[in-house]
Amino acid sequence: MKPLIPFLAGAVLALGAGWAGFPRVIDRARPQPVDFSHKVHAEKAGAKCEDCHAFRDDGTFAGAPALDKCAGCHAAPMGTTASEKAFIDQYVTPNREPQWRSYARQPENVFFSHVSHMKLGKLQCEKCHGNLGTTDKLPAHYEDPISGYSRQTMSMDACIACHRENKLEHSCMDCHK
Amino acid sequence: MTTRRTAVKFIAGAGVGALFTPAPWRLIRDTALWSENWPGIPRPKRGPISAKTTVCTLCPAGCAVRARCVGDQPVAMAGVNGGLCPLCVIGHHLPYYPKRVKQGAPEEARAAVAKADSTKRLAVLDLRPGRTASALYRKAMKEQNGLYLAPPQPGALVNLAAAKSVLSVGAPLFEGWLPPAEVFAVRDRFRLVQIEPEFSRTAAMADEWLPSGDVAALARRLEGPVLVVDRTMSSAIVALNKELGGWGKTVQAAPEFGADDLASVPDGAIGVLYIDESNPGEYIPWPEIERKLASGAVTVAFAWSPDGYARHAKFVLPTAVFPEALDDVDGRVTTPLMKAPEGVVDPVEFIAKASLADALKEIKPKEDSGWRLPYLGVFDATPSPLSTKLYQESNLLVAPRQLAVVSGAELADKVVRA
Repeated sequence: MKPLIPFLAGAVLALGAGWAGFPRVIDRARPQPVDFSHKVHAEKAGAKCEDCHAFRDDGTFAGAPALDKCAGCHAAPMGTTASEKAFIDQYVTPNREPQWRSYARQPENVFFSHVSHMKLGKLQCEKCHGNLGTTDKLPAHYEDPISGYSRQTMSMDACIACHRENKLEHSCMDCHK
Repeated sequence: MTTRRTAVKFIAGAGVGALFTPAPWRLIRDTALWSENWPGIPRPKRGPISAKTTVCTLCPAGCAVRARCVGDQPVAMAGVNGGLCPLCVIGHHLPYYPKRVKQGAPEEARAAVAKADSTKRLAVLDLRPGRTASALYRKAMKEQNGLYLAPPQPGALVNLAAAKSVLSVGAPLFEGWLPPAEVFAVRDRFRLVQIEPEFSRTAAMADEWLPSGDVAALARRLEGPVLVVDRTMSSAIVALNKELGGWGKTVQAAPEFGADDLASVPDGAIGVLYIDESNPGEYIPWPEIERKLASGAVTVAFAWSPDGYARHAKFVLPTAVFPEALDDVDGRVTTPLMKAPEGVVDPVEFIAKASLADALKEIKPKEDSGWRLPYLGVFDATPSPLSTKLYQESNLLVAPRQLAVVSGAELADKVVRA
């Protein structure tokens, strides 16, 4: 047993570093540009997901709304919060687009159609995006410094699992066109 | 005491342990994703999608194209009247062709032309005759006592859709001789008999393949209207079509392009040769051209690919490429889908000192007549921008997407029925 101790020590150290240390190093928490509350917008303004995260006329998904959409209501402060005031001062008044960090942006080699999942598949936003739409504070955006994508981006395993569960096609060409 | 053996064991243990953590696998995945975003790798833009229509100029067929665009960048091509051939489906990638000619020396070329031997003749070789640009070249050469040269064209136009039986004497019917998408669109309407010693791809897709045979006797036995074709639509084949009553129905006289005959030009007579290779077409083997050039002749090639005549020219000037270029095909004007990069040279302006855009405003738009001039450029032995290699590569690239047009099941079905 004694001759194996250095080997086991190395293995244990690597396991610890790989499981505990590596994720902390590789995933950098980056703040969003604006302290945005989905909860406030849903409860006080009665907003639904598709009011801001809309489909374009051509059926493509627009993603995060542009500043024009926000400025439609927030040209002047509607409340008394510091974050709203900061948003207006930093973005609305100088007409500067906030650089939102996308939690779900897929890599370039992936083709994902929101319209086919939502209109044909009748999926709810929460199925993939969790309870993000009801949170009071945007979660930290963990960006991978090598790939540049978010840690929260849905993995291929999750896509395939859902397609299998619903007995749907899941060949390579469905997403990697 | 730490020995070398202990250190090696420790490192080996760490290596084995690391394999059971997410670290190496995550790094491999991240590196792959990172490599997709290297600078210089073209990526489709994201944003609202619009549709623009144009005409493909990659071969003389001039298929109507509907392009999906994000902003001013085309991201996908589709046919307006059915499918497209593989080359046009990836046509929007051509501006990013890695070997694309990007720089030239137009002022030096102009100076060299000005200094050229004035006792020798000026000539322009137009690889795609029949365009508005071609008419401007012809006019310019006439005014300067120059020569307007064009590669030999097939002897007749064909209308495949009008035929009930097609007898092909070695013509690569399914391999780019006519626009592939058009051929497949009407494939079920005609019976194809292929006479060819080799079991080519066209032979494989024919209803009947004969290594050899009596063409005239076989043609008379087929159900009419019969279209008999060979690779160049030779005069003998055209005569046979006339005899079978196909003249004006399945076969028609090829247009006259008013080109001077290169063979009748004395050797060493050309002092300045312009080659418009911006739209590739048929090719003339370089040795046939070279012997007509005077000693010290100035050759200027207008090209976007370095693989054609650009290999032989003294000056190579970059041109716009489909879908950046303004041009016309058989009376149908192409609309540039994207802006050409800085530094490209307009061959019409350079050679004919005229504006193609102004000339195109004058032409009357024409509907597609359905008559097609067979295209040999893809199969020419001379390496060209549309050489067989590039064509095959494009085939591989888009093969999965073309299955709707040329499905394996469909082809297998045809072979079985044969």
